[in-house]
Amino acid sequence: MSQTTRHLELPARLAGLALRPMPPKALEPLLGLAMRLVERRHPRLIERLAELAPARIVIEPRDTHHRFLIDINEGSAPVRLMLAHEDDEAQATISGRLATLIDLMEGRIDGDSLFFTRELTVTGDTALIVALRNTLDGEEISVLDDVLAFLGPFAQPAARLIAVADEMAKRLALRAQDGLRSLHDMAHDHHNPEAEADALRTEISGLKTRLAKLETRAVKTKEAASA
Amino acid sequence: MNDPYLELVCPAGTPAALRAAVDAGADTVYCGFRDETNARNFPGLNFDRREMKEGIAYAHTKGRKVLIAINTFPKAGNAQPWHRAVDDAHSLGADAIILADIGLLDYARRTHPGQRLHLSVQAAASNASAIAFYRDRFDVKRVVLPRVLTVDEIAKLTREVGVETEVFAFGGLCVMAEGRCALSSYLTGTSPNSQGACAPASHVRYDEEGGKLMSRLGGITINSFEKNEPAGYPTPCKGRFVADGKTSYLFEDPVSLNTIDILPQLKAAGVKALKIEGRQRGKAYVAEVVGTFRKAIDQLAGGHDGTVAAGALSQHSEGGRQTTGAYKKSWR
Repeated sequence: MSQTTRHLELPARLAGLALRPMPPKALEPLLGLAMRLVERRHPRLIERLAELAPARIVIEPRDTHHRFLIDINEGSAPVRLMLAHEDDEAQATISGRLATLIDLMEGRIDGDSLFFTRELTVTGDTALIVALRNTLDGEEISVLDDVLAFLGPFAQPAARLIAVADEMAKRLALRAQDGLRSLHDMAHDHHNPEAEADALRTEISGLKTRLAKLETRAVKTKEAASA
Repeated sequence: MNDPYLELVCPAGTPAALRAAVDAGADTVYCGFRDETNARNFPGLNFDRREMKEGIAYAHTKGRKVLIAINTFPKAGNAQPWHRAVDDAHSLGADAIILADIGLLDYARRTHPGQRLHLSVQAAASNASAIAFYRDRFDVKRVVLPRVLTVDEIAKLTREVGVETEVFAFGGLCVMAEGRCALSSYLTGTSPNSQGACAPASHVRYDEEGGKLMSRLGGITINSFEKNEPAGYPTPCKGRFVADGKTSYLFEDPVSLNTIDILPQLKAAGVKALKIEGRQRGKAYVAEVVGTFRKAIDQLAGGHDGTVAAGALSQHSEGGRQTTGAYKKSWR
């Protein structure tokens, strides 16, 4: 399956779950790691972004408590977390749901279509936003593939784990929809969707922990190999 | 002229979009160089020479064609970048070059006698005499028809002109003065015909004001949208203006062309190729629109037309609405 068609819902969902309560101090190193992955896996993207330098763009995932600043310079485009009341002094801002922004970055959704349907809001220097969108769209980015590539020998089991968890997340979402549809019957039903959702959450949490362990082992293995 | 196969011609603003178009079933992909020689000169878009070479190689490996659009009008006294673009398109192996300017057509024909040439919609050749001139003088093999003709008029023209006709099948619409519209120039100083950009993003601003989304071009308010109303670009021809105390879309509604429902009629009219508009759109748009049209064309070829619903692409349409435009013209 090509990168552009590969679509697992879980990475975006997990990212959303993880980002919401995550304290800035814990998020900063993760951002740094993500940027190093991007630089390593997509050198052409960094080259292309440099054509926009100097530029500062704020990314606002509406469903998290965080804002991110992309500071585009010659040869680098570091992303950093913004302080709660920080004045951005950015030329442009993009705002939307986190999952939507990830889909946009991966080129799975058309930015114009999102704008037409008002799922995406842009303010400030529109030319800069358009240039960033076109630059990202020209690159074939897959957050999942990038993470898996980082995991090296652990990529295959991690991918299987994620696929299973993704399937569970989809089932959970479907059940939630069914639950909404038949809400008026619920009072007479012994079925307990909340307990079921809790059980699934616990399972997902367990899978997340196993994934984190795999990541840690991957880091250690790489460190040992380079020592 | 009696070839029943409808060729699907698809847009690519980036190498990734080119691959997406080919993978989704495009017969042919059209694209441009990263400068003002093409009519979609937007920031971060288009191909440098190396990317064009790689893109052509990718398409050719899969048995598809690549057309290079050099369809703006050279600046007076400085035709060099346009000549260089024609030379490079030829040497890179373009299956055809899409041109609009008479001088450039003349240059291409004299300099590269064997190169296949297509006439861009920007030339606005909409009658048999005009098309015959380009055919006889420059050996143009195909004309992209302006979006002003009905299906019956296209059928008559196709029979008369003796060159292939290509028509727009999906995407944004212009005010039917293609290659001659200067509305954008009045507000921004740039036009699609000279600089390759209509309503350039550098002059566009979106502001939230009083619960409404205001869209502005060159500081002029072009439209305002209520909270959940589908939005559109601040293209000057698609603004809502007040005239005689009434607010309306004076020139054109923000709406996209979609011909899925009239593909059998276009095929019967003798049209050779269907063009998808949207080099400025993302690869997700390209993949979905191309895939949908591929399916519709294949079903039509198999005698099972009508199963692909036009509404399937409504989310990609400006303003969330679709039209068959002038093809089923009912306003005269």
